[in-house]
Amino acid sequence: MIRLVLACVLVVGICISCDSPVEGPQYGDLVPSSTDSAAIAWNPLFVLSGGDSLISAPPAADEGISAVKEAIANRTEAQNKAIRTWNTGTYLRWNELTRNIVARYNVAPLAERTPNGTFTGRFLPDPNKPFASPPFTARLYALVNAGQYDALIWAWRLKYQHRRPAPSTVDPTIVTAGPSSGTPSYPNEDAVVSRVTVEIVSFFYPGERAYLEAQLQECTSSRVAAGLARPSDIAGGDSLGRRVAALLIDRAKNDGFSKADDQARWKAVDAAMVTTWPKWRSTETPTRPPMLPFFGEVKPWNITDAASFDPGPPPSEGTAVYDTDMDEMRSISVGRTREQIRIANYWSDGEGTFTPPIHWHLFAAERLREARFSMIRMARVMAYTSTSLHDAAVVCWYTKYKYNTARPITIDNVVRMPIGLPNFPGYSSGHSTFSGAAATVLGHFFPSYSQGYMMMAREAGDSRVYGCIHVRIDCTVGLKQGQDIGAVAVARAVQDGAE
Amino acid sequence: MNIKSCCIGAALWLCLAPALHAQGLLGGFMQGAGRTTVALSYSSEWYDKYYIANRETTNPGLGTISTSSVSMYAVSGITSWLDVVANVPWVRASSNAGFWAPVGALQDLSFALRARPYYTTFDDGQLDVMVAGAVGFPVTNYPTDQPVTVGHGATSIDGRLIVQYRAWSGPFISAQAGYIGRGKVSVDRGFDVDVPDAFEISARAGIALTSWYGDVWVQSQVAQSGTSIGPGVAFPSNGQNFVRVGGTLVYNLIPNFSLMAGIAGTLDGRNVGQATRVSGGIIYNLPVWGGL
Repeated sequence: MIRLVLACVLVVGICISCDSPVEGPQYGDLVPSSTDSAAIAWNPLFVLSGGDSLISAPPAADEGISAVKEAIANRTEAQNKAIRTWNTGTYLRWNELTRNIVARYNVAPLAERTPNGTFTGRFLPDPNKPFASPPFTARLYALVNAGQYDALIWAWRLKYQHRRPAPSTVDPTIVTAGPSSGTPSYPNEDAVVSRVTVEIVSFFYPGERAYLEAQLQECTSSRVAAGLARPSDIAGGDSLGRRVAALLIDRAKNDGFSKADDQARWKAVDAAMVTTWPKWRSTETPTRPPMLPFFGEVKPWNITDAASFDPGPPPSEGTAVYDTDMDEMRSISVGRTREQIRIANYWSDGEGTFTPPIHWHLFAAERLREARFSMIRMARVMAYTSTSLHDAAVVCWYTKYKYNTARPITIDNVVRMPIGLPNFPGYSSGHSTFSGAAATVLGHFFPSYSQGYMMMAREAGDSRVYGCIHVRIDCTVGLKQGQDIGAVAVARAVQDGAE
Repeated sequence: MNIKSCCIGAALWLCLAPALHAQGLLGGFMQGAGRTTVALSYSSEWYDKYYIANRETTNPGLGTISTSSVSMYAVSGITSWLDVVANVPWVRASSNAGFWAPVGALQDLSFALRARPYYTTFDDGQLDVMVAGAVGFPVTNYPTDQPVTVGHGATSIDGRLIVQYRAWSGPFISAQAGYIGRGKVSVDRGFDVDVPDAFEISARAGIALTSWYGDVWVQSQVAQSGTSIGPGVAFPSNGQNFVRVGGTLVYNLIPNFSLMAGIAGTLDGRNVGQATRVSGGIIYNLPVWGGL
């Protein structure tokens, strides 16, 4: 009998081990703490004028009320679910969806091989699926977030120009099923930010348009079904978002990125370059050309040019700093602690992730949700953060290819790494530059977190030292560059009328 | 005491336990009341091909991944129908290309109970029906989410049914089926992932004599969920399947002291290395303490 009981116990042990599904954070409705009606006086970042003429005036206030009531009456369970989903915050959700998309495209182009597996010497970038590398993604997000912000500023101006009342104000029998922004309802801000995001992300990734359009449809129809907007409010927002996005896309076409990967030009520059430090060489097999050697020439957002942030040359071979930094690499390679490994992995954000600069969006989103900012104030924070991250990419890539320094492993092959090594020069550290910029900007918007953000930025730089991806000077210099770049964005922000 | 009753359990555990998953199979031979065996083994496993989903792949940035492990093992018969088993390996993993840092750590401590609720004898042999349950958990905080690592870091619970027929003259055949449940693991990247459960079946045939033991076996494990290896995918969440074959040889050198050798290879897999493994060990029978 005892044997049978024990057998049952052992078998039950199997059953209690079954996995439970992973559940992400569950958010409630995001109710903005302010309408930020004064945002009509805020300065846009790019679309500086003419936004108020991009769409026509709304129909009369009672137009579309019956359509709203019909949508409420015919709400399906799927629409109820969509309402709950988008009630958690349209703005934050679109940025999260964008993160998921760029993570899928953060894969280096495949090496072309013959049928028998021999490398042909070429890589195969797909123009419709561009590699969402850190600078590429920083640029994409700057365009998206700046576009969202500018479009919302013009939306706010139009809202308070036309002062179209919300459906539930016109007809008090309408019971809304979600948080209202408290602003006049034309044009609808959810539609504005949705359309801007769909257009700009689809510009980069046309294969994602169907998915994004479906998300947009779900979002905007849920706003009508929730009684928050008329179809015409949505149409006005959609139209405004589309027109603003077109202006941002036109900027993207002319910002110099198309010349950022000119490998023939780089070969010539590299060959002519004489340095007093070991030059960068790819450690990949097969050897891969360096990532975006002329991204430093891409048009910035807040700074005037990358050269103004030139940190000067790195230490020459044989100098005390050079030797000390390499000694640290050798020491870490043989004595890396578990905590150093954790930090290296935590900040790594390699292929398949939303990249190191966008890691800071997670911290920002957490604070924005907690602060219950209005959509336009959220957009402001992210516009300055992302444009500063873009500028950090420009300056950092400028520095990397101006000085073209070797990675530690190229200098001494005893170096060992727990994480993957990026395929571009070392000095200065991208992680440090991105993090210095983001920490400075976010620290301005959330002063009580400022010190913590800067500690995190230092840890992001340390993570590259612990990983033996960078020598320490790369990170101290990068952090300073980032802080200076962030300070320029902050200086712009304090004068934009919102503070 | 002979080799049939004591050393075989140790040999099977040491030969079959994949280096990356210390909790392996239990054999079909009960230890016997009061009999205790301890073993120390070394195994070396290596692969230069691995499966991304089902696609066979090589990676010049990783080269050959090698795993060495030293395991301490003990099994004791509490009664004639109940054994208790413990095992803990120290594992080191490294690659010979790509500048990856090697990782070495004390891996997972495993405890198992094996019970024989039913057996019957025949003129020429004996049929045993056994159930076993085991729990394994990491004893160090080793990193789990990188190409070169020593394990997935999850706590696991293993339950299985074992059926064996052995002839008095030495030949035997056994089969077992089990389910391995695994918990979540926190990866360094700052989030938790589920490590997939797996269903496992295996079969073994061999000869167990007084002075020596030999077998051949086949083992198949199928993950019940999980991702495939890919950019940004946390490695512990990968669903790993494999079909492995191998053999074991144990020789009783002197009374209570045996030597063991084993070899194993991977025939097919999903999100695992196409690994080959050799192992060897020494097995020692402690004095009989009587049992319960």
